[in-house]
Amino acid sequence: MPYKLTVNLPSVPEGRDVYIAGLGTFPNGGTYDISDEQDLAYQNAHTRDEGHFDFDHVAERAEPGTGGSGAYVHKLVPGPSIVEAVQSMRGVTLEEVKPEEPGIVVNVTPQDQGGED
Amino acid sequence: MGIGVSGGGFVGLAFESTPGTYVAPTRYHPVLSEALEWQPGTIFRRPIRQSVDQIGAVPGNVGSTGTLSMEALDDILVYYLYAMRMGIVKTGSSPNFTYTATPTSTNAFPTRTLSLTVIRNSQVFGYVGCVVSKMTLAIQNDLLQCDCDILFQNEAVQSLPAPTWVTETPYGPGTWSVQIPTATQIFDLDTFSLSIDEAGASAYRLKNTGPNQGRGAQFISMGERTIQMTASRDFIDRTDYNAFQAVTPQNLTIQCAHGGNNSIAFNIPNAFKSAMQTPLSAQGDIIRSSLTYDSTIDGSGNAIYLTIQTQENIT
Repeated sequence: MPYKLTVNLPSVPEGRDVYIAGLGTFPNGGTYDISDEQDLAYQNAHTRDEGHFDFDHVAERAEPGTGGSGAYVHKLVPGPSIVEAVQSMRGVTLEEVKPEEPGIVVNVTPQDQGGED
Repeated sequence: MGIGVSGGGFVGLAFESTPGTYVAPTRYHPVLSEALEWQPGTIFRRPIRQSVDQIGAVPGNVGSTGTLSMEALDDILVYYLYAMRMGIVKTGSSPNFTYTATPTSTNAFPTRTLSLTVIRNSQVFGYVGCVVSKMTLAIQNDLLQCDCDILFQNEAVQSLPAPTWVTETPYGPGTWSVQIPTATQIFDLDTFSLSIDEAGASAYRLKNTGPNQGRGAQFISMGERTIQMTASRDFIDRTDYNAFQAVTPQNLTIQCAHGGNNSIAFNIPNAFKSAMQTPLSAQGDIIRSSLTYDSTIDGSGNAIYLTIQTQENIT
């Protein structure tokens, strides 16, 4: 679902560029369209590694008596969605854009189009 | 959590409504380095008791130290001046403001305190009751750099904030106007370092309540202020040297500016040269003077005037 991002830092003059890491640069005082793809890119940009050194795992696989250094096991965790992140961004708000209601669809059949039989 | 790099961290600041009570960051700015350190002040015991080792430890007064180094930016510098003993007058109207800071002498406390939030490897360190004990403005790497020696009351984990970064332009080559005396621009000075030292110190009182089980500073006081500038100038003739020998003060101003609405300037109205070294060094070396200026108050009672022109609207 796309969003409307409003950047309005109170102490910063209108028009001054404000950079949000992973999202882009926005002139202060404006509202901007943010797509789902941009939200995904933001989450990817803030990916963190919550891995650990797995000493036990390596010790099991190491030959007896040789010891061994702990292998680092990665655990990549995507960052927060922009929806969550703006909660702690002073002066930045996000509004979800609801999809438009579908209109009435009229099925046009060949008989309705007239013409000679 | 994996091992992080410093470049992934960031620093944010906010004015505190109540000194020592955390406020989430309202402004973020790039830093060159930070080394804020919470100190336990542990008392290690060495009584005579058939041992030459420390026999135990008692929790002591919690202390603080650390320096925050950053490019001197006109929209950030004022925040840190507020955390010193400065009377700051704001003039102008949106979008262009001028902040004029002059030192105050009636209080032991700074004008305002800051909450500084430092994120290291995605871990949040919230420093409260932060004041600037010493500010140094100097040219480093051809840019105007600001180093703030910070004292704080306590540190605790806080919620992880998401920063926003405002585009700023540091001050470097081509932005300078050095005037010695004021209004007479000179072109023989290539570096300087101005320090404003408030002699801050943590004040502890006997108590059993408050942060850190009553072991924190009751307040941070400031004492005798020292304003000093070092500079390096080409040596032309004895004019300035004679003034040095005669202990003649000078009114000097150093300003850096981007256009007409963004600048950082300081004026020392009564600068006495306390040292002036003009050696013959190596054959090919230009003869230069290393100077130390010490400031005294002028007829208005001010030892320095700092003027910041910026679009930052600080309330």
